[in-house]
Amino acid sequence: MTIRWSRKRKNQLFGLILILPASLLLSITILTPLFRSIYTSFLDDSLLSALHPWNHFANYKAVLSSGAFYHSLQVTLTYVISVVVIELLVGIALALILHSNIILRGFFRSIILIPWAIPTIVASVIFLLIYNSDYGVLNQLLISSGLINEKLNILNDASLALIGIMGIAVWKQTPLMTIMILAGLQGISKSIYEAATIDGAGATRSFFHITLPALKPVLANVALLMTVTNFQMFTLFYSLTNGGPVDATKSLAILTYETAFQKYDLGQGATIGVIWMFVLLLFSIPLYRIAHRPQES
Amino acid sequence: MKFKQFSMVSMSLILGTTLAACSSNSNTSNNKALPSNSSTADTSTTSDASKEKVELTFANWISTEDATKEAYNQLIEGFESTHPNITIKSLGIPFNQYKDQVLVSATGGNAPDIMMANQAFTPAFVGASIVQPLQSLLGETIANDILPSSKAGVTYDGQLFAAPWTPHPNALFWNKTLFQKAGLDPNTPPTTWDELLKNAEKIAALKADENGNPIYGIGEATKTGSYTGQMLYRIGLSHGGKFVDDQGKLVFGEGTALTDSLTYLRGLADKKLTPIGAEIKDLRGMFANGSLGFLIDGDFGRNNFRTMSGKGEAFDNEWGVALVPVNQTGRSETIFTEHQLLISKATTHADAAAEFVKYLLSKDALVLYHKLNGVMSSLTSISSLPELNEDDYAKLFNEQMKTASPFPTANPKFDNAMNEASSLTVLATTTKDDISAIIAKVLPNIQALYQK
Repeated sequence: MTIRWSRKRKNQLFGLILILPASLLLSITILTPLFRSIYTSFLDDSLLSALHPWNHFANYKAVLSSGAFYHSLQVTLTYVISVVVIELLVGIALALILHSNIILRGFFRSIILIPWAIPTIVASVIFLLIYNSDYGVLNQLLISSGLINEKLNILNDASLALIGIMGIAVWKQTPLMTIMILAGLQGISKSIYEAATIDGAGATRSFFHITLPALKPVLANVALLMTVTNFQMFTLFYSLTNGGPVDATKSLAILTYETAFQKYDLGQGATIGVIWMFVLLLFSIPLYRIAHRPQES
Repeated sequence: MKFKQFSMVSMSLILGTTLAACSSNSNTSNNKALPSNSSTADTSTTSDASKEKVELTFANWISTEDATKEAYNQLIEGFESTHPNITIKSLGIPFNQYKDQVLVSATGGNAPDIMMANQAFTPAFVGASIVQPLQSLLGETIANDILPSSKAGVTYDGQLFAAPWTPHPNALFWNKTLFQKAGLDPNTPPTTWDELLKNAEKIAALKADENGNPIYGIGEATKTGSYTGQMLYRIGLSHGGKFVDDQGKLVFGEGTALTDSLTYLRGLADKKLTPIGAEIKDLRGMFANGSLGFLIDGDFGRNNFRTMSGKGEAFDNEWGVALVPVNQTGRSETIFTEHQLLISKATTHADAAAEFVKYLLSKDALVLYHKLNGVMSSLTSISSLPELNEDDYAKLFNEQMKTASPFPTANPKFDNAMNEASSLTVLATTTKDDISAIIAKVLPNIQALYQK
């Protein structure tokens, strides 16, 4: 008996075969650790013990009833929301400048990407020197300009350390934001602005009624990208403050690492990771929906 | 459609959750330890130390550090030349990541055959059941030769789990050049805590060198991290404090020692006698650059300062080393750290691994290591050898070792407790909060660790 397949069915089968290797690779590299992580979150899994029994929701109870988790969640949310909002505002401003007819526009469009191209760990080392309370250039500039009298110990002051880290994140990530918004700006037809000008709209009205609505999908996409990037940020926190001083910068990434690999409690570490994923989804899904909502005519 | 959206967003986010599980290889009921995959010889090992070709993996951090790299190479060369059937494969891991990486690889089934450790790491390795008792492998002669203070720190339930290798008592380094500039006698170090503080104030009064670099009186670690906690413990000893009592019960915070220690640190911060937010590597660099009047550090200091100053042995003329000044207890209180050697439970070549450990503990190896790096031995018979007491520097550290205390590391959470304790130092030096309020805020976190 021979099976006679329609052309459509054959195409579907061919497509399936083509995506199979990539699907398998994704399953092994992403889904396996994910499910492993969820499974581990239900175990009493300590590196200091040979036995790792199933402990139902004990890890979730322990994590959700600990002040450390909520403190880290607060640090993470403060960091992510502040950084993404500042990056959006600065990114829009820079993109508008680079979109206008300034001199050396091409040059500025090129060099603005330098901070983004620098590896995060290298940026950390650079800013460790810039922020240094004894030798750092930032203190020298602030003192010589009369803005401060006493040198700031930014990364060792519990009230300044998180701001210091945010500053580096903004410096490093804003260029990418700017370039993506700039691409969005270039996609807006000039004829719309011309029509608005004929109708008597000024620059401010054009910005709020043409530019911003047209940029909405781009802004939502870059906000989503930066939200995910910053929720997962580990390098800056680990290399600059390791969660200190006195937990002032202990983000969820640092708390997860500390719980799993310094306190050796892989079960609770995985639990924090799983809860962290759901918090991230909570933030990301609305942004995704905005980014992919059909454009109004 | 909703499912599609959810899936797409999820896929872009789930990497963040894999951090904690990426290295876990746990089972719900099985022991994690698996045979090492590093050995190339057969697994029948009754006499592998003398016959078969064996490759052993040695996890260590000394091969990754400039100051000790050369000594490491010569030690391995010395062992392999006398044990032609055994090859040592180095697994060099930077100190900062050492404990975590060894634990994760060992519990994941890739245990090194032999591993270095210190007093903070060994309890974790013993607690994780990745190492084996050494008494029968090393023999009674070596076991009975270990300095009593060292032996106490590596004995668990009456069994010897690590071979103490090189103890590193901390002593007081002082900068003679800054002494002169401050009008102090460069050849008379302080002997009491009060003298230390007075001298530090005079040195800090210099404020800056000719290049504008700030000058501090004394360097104390004040950055979040377990080393800072350990130094607070050292300061506490000189104020008559303890971390645990003889039964292992936490007594940190009892009495006035902790309050006195934090008041001392606050005084240093308020008078700008110490750099704030510095960790030990910063302080070593500052001492080597002539920016610190005093630094309490281990016997490896000489080599570090020679390298970091860029002046080599010529820099030895610019500093001196003395016993840590006496404070409230009436004796020179300090701590000693110790490099130790452990053999993996999973090794299939325990005899060969024991041979390597015995070599590293031997006179030949220690004399070589001492010549290159000035280290001492944890074995009584070797630490008293003339070759290890050949100059004032070595004699001073051997003398300091007599009053140095080991860390109370029997609890595997000690390192975490020290990490928490560093918050006490950070708060005392960076805020104006009341010292008792700082203790009330941080101490419960340390107590919670010891209750679990």
